[in-house]
Amino acid sequence: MHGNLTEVFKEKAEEVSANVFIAGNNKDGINYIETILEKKKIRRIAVLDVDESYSRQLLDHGFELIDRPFRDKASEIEASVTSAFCGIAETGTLVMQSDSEDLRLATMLPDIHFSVIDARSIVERANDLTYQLKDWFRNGNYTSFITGPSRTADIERVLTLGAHGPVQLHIIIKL
Amino acid sequence: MAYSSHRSYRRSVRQALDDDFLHAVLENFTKSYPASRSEAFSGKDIQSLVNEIAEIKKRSISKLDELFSQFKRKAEELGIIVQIAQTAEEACRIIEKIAEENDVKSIIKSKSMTSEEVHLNGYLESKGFEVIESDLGEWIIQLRHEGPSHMVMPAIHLSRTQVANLFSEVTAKAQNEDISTLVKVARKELRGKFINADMGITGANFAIAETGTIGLITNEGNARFVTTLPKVHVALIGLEKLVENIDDALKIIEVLPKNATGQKISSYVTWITGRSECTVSDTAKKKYHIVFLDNGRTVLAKDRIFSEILHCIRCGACANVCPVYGHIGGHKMGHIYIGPVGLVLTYFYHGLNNARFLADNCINCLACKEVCASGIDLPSLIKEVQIRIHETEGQPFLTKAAGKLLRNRKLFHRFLKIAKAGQKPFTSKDGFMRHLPLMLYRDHSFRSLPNLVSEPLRDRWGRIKPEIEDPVLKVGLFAGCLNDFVYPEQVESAVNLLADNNIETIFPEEQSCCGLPLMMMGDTKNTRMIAMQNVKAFEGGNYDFIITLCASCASFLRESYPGIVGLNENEITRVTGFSKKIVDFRSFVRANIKLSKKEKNNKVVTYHSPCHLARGLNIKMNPEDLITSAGYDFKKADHENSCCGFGGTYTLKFPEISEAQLNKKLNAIVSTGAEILVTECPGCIMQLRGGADRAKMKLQVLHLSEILNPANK
Repeated sequence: MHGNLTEVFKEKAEEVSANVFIAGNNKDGINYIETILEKKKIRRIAVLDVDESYSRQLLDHGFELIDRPFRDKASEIEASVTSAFCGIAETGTLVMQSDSEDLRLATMLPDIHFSVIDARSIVERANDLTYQLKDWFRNGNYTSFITGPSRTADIERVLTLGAHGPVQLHIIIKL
Repeated sequence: MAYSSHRSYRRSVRQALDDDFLHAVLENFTKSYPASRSEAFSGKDIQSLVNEIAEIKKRSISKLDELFSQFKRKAEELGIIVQIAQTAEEACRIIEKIAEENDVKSIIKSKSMTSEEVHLNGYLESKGFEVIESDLGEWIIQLRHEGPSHMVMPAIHLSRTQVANLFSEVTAKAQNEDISTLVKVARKELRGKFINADMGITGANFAIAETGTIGLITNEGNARFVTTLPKVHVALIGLEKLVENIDDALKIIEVLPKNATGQKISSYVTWITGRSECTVSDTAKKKYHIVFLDNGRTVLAKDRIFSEILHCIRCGACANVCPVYGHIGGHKMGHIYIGPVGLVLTYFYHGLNNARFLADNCINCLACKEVCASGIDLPSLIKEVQIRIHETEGQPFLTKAAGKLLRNRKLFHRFLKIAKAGQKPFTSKDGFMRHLPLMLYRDHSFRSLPNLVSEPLRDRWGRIKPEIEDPVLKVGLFAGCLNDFVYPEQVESAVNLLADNNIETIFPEEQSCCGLPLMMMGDTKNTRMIAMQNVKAFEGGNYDFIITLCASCASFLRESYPGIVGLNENEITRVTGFSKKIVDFRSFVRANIKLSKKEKNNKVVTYHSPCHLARGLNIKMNPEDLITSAGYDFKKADHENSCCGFGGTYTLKFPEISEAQLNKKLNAIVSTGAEILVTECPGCIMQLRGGADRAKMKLQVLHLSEILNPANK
């Protein structure tokens, strides 16, 4: 069942220009991130709210982790790694609990955003999350649905990725 | 901008029609929208979703006060300051005060039509605040000091060249026309503004009463910055955005992006409940104000007719399919709110002066109703606004005169006989009036007009009606004005086809005009009178069916007659009995006649779908099968079910747009290479045949009856 949801999620996310990488384990995920960063010649990266093996390996391999708070470092953050609470297969959507200002900025500021989700967390439709959302909203909350990179078609209706948010969204699905 | 006269509005419309770039971009967009909408909704039952949205909005609007109280309570528990502004000015003043209290100098906004409605930017700027729009399209038009030309794509009317020139000015550096480069320029310029702004203003796509949550459905990512970086957030929200619960909101998220831009979902949906973390605030939490806007909404919510307009979820789809919008764009078809919904909202939110001449600009093709995410009967509401405006201003002379004339059948027919005599100097043998005196004709000369025939249907009926010995069916024939006085030959073909199949046709002489032109001019009283005349004419005839060859009449008689305002109970029963029997020619043929398959004649035929058939009667399939079994080759035309541009009284009011739409249709027909164009409405035939003649096209424009039974010709 979940295998199928992962496939559907991947297909839908790729339809809207997200890059989806299926990782057998965290190490595979981190290697994927490093490959992309090398290609883009990015050495400094904001890492937040993911398994600590991510920051450990990145540091070990010579990448620099940007310190919090991120508010004053807007121009320095070219890439970020965060995780998402779950995915919605029907639309290839990430669901993030983003109360933390730094977490929000980490997903908004850089050109490249990596988001890690657990394959088992993927639900079929947004309606499957009604109770979870209600629970989150009870005491105040900032929840984000993210589907693909940021985009605009405001000039001559020509679709351009990367309006104010990330130009590239990479989703790492950990099996 | 308030137009001073119908003429001045038409001059403005003319400007848009002459704008080649605008024409190209709108043509491009309106051509691709239906397919991308269809693709976005694939696998889903669109009608079912629309019904769900309609139910949600109806439920919410019926308890707006209750939902507001519930939202306010929840929100205040979470530390949000909630206020309600009764008027546009009050909304501006409240927001000004919030800005002053928080030492705000610079304000950054994400896209909000509600803020445009109240002229917020202009007000705040006049008070010395810096206001920057962050949505790319909104920023562009802000820099150009223009309003949006579309609900969702505000700068769609501009070319990349215009944007490049604008950005070059703004950045004091020459900017390249490449669109992805231009987007990068905006990204860079606005990034700094987000960081330095003291206050962020957003709208909201929905406000959930149950949890005190607002939702923002966006693509660019700017709303996320606007609600994160500045230490104060103000959300300005129309009361009608209130919904009961999270499932209601999820339904809106499911439908809005699909209908608006053909996306399955937007890049971002942001749900904000309570005060989020803000590291530059002295309380570590953002200052968060919500200002609900009334501006007439609570009154509208209680209006029996107009509460439906509050069901709008601001998707802009109505504009996307409107043929008028497709020719002139939002700056001319709108005030602040544009397109079909804008014609109604302008009247209520921006007053009579701004709506007076705009509201007339509806061709009543029903395309907007077909695509509305909430199923709003926009054409009826627009008509109702027109009636209200005329009630205030007094009915135009033309309406009063037409009313008197049409309701007196004998007088009307005598008038036509006089007109027929008077047309003599201008008519030609082949049935066209091509050279009316210029003063009567200048703007309307884009198509040739047909002659009134010397022997209308009602006069020749006695002579031509077939005698059937043992009829299998007895049908009453409703002719309608055009088939009676201009195109009786179409009826002859039809009646003889029926006779060949042992079906008897009776033409009750007491019938008159169906009344649609009167209804369209807002004369409900005379419409009612004429309707009862027609019902009476057909009563007691014991007809199995009542057929008509005019799609406009068919739709009006069948769908609208029972709902005519002012009928008493007895009249409603009689009218309903009458309307139930009304059937359009094609449907009657399909159900009751077995057509013989004819030999192929290798002539290419294409089809135009009349608005009142496709959308008035919901008969969306074209009659390709009937046409091919009659021996013709069928080629489907682009824009097959797009309006012919006639629109009855519309062509008199806005001939230039009527002409533009006609040309669009004729071009699509030329592309098929067809020598015959078939349709099922004499009104459409008049427009299309007249246009083809004026353009000297080798195109025959015929009624379906003439294709199925050409023996009559």
